[in-house]
Amino acid sequence: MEEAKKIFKQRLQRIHVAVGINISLLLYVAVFFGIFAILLPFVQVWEKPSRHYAMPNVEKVDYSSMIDPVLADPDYPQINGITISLPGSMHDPALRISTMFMKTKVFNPNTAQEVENEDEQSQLARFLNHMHYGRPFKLFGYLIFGFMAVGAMFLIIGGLMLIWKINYKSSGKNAQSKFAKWHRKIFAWVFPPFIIITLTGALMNIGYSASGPMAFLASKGETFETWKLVGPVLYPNLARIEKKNDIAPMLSMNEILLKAKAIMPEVQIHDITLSNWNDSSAEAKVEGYNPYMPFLNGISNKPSVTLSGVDGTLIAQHHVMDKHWSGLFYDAIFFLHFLFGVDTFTRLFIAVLMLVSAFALGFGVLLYLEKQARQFPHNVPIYHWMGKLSLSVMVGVIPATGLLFALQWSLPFDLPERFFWHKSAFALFWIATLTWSFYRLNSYQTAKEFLKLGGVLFFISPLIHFYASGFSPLRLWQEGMISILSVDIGLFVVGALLLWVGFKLPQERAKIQAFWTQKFQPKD
Amino acid sequence: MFKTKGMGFVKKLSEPEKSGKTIGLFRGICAIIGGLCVAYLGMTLLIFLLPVTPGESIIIPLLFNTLVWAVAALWIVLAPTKLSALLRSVVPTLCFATLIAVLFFKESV
Repeated sequence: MEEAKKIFKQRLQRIHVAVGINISLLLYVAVFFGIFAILLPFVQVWEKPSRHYAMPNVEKVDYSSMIDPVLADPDYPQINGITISLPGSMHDPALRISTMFMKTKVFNPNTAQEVENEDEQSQLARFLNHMHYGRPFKLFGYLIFGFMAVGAMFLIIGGLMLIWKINYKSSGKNAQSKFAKWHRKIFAWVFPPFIIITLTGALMNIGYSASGPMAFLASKGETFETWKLVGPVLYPNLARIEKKNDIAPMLSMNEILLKAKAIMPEVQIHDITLSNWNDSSAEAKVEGYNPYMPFLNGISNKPSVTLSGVDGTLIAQHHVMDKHWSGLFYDAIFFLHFLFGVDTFTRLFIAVLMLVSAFALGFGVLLYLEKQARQFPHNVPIYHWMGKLSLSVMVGVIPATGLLFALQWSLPFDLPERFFWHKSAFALFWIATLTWSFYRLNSYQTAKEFLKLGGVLFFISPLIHFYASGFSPLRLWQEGMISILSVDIGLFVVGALLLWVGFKLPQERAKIQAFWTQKFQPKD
Repeated sequence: MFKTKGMGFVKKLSEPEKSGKTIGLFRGICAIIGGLCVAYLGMTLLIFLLPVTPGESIIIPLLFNTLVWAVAALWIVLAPTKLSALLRSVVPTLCFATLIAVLFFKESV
């Protein structure tokens, strides 16, 4: 019996190491770019010249002066419905009007002037988000990242079992036991949000696409398409309304919004969908987010009112709690992953949590590498392919991302295929770090170089931004562009920190051991 | 002759390994493929058991499918013997599949 227990523990440990080391780097990539995806709303504003103005006071914006002329234009197609995104949704200060097959119209709500949208030319935030879930590699990337998420859940549950079954001691003094301690401690604290986030990640990457047979069985052989079953519950289509084929005077957008606000004062209004506008059957569906019910709305569940375009009579209303419980459950689970509508503090808190998790992953890999290295005496230099690969993936990604930020404002915005150059430079640079880390014998020296280089790149990107955009920090502050200024400050701080760490880290093996085993306490 | 050979194979599978330091391909495949079958069919069965329309009930299995896969894979890979790893992947799969088949054809008959 004792023997069986021992073998069980051995196996549990072994499978954790085997799966862990295989998916660690991919998981790190997902977490690393996930941090930028959390900060996406801010980066999205920072990267675009068309968004360099203050967030307007949404109560005082004159919506009609921007929207009504577009709607009155007989050449603007209205047949497919028109979606209007109001300033403030996802921290975007612009007002956007879009319909199928037309270029999105973007307005500066402070001046009510139309601005030129960059569209495909500026995709920094989008690209960082795509890197988060393997999109650059299309289906292959989705599958790899999806299976990795399943592996991550496997590791979390196995890891918790390890902590429960094995009496770990945190008192070890060598580097190996320090790595083990931190890997264990951090994940013991952050696993609850982490597992929910990986769960939804796995669902988005492989869950939907693999659910065909399940949908077939559930629908008793009617369909293989899960969305045919789920769509009406989660994202019901707008009902088709017959056109009366007349022309009726419409309410102005300001009147529509005032009426909607009066019916649902607790909701932050994000968008309006117009159907059959300028016809007497016209309807306006005003949707938003109810911040008093976090976790229950924001993803598939959006409180809304539908008003008649002619006189503003209430046609339908959807409260947060009107959703079927499975839809509420769906929103609750996805809320932590998407963070729609949450305030800046929560966003930063989750970002810090993920940053800490990235470190915990790093400690896991370091633990594995240290165990490998301890098979050799101290005076033998260690050259392990996994060490070099991890170095390039985990540390090399920092200067590569720094380059993305530095290039955003140094590449001209009218450069043809601008985004292609942008992302290619990133990819090439990242691969170059792989070559460099295999070339250098001393991994710590390489790590220091990558950190310093990353530090410089992050450090100069706000400077390039100030210069190229023509907005000095003072002007950003005075004109109320706080979210743009805070991205600049954030980049500046990250750059400074990286430089500091890059110069501070030791690079001889004996000193490194001393570094990891010292007590991290403030000296007095 | 054949029978003894077959029994010998089963016997060999039911002997616990001496060490847990290697997992082995057999357990690995049982865990990945078997775990997937158990999780996928178990979750599909859940759709039938939840007392709401398929569109409403499929959301929970959709969400938890991958998590259950991870749990099932862990459960299978940690089995004390290779035989029990095999049984842990085959028996629930067959049970769930039979139940689903019964529920699938029940109302259409």
